[in-house]
Amino acid sequence: MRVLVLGTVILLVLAGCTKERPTSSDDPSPRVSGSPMSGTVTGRVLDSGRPVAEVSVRPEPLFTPAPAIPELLVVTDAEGRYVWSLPAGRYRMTARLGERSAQPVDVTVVAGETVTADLLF
Amino acid sequence: MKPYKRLRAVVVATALAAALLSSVAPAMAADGDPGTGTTGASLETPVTSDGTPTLLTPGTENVQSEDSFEGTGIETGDTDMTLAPPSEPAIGDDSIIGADNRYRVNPTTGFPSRAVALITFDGGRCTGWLYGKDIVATAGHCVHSGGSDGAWKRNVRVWPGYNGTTAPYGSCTAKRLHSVSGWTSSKDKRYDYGAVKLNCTVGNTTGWFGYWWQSASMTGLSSRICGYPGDKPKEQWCSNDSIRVTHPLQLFYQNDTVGGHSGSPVYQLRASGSSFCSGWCGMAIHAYGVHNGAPWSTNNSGTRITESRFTNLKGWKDAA
Repeated sequence: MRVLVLGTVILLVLAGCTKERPTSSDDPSPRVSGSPMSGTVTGRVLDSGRPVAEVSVRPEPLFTPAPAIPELLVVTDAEGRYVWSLPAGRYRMTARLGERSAQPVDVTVVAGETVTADLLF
Repeated sequence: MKPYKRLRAVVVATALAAALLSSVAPAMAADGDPGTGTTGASLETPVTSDGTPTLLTPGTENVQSEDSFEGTGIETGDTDMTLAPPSEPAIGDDSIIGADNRYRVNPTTGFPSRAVALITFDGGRCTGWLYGKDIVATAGHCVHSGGSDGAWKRNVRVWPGYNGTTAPYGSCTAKRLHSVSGWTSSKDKRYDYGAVKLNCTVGNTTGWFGYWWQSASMTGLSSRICGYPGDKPKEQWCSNDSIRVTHPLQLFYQNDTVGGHSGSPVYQLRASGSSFCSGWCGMAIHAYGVHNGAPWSTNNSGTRITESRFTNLKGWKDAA
């Protein structure tokens, strides 16, 4: 009897948790890229071996459905270094300097890990 | 089984159930969001960069808006305080919906353009908008990278009305950064908002936006977004549209935006005597471009100012 009562209660609780989980049919992933579903892309932007500062670096998702990526601008520092926190998945990292574009680099972002992508002009 | 043992088993099971339910309670309380999943009041818990508790302003529960203020408009900038120009205009994101309908604001010394601010920090840029003498509303991801493994932005500086290579009102450093647990712990895009408390009172000069919340749908209201898109050299650009879809915690529109526009005001001019806010009034904080699923796939979106968010914003504004 005791086992029956406990089992029933636990089943009801688990059912309740599932029902109340904050999801919906039209927005299956309200979380942007929070731990542990996100990873980091970092690297340097270099022109003839020299760091390029104040250049924006953009990730282009190579998978669908496209994730929510905040519309902030990520720019390189004085050493040409940048950091993007992104939902797990595959991306093409790009940078542009005037009419010139850096050689794009495709990376796979793994949750909780950091991947390096240097962009070269 | 003896009666007392049966009772004990029920008590233990009930306690277990209560504990488990309490662990998910934040995700299902208040601010019900029937169209987009449940939401939680605790996800609106204010969080600050220096641990200072947010004291909610007494009487705020009866307030639904604050009006805009034009300020003196007297320029105080020093050319020595301007940012170094970018090496090149930056590339943007794909949030131009149809034709690019953005237009440049030049000069930026009129109101409310001067209350729109470029925000710089280590590794990036955003937009914000003054809504008090020393407080700037912006996206949560402009002050904190989000999630329990995230971090507060460093060396945050605010440049009201920045225009290409000049800062007509100089710049201010951040005294404190604000957001909510729904962003800093859960990195939930529906809770992506925050604020920068300034070490100056430049708002007395630039003026500030009003802001309001309403329970009713906002669909059909005109919307303007002005900010600092990354594909323009630190110039202020705007786009006009209207609210296309209203969700409990987000608003959707087709104003054109680009990376760097995050934190921009989604606002409109409301006539004197309007219900709630009068003047230039914000109803949301821009945060995302188009992405997966309707209505995200055809609209840009911002974090809607709700009652609890109004209360947080006001608490941050009124804090010392």
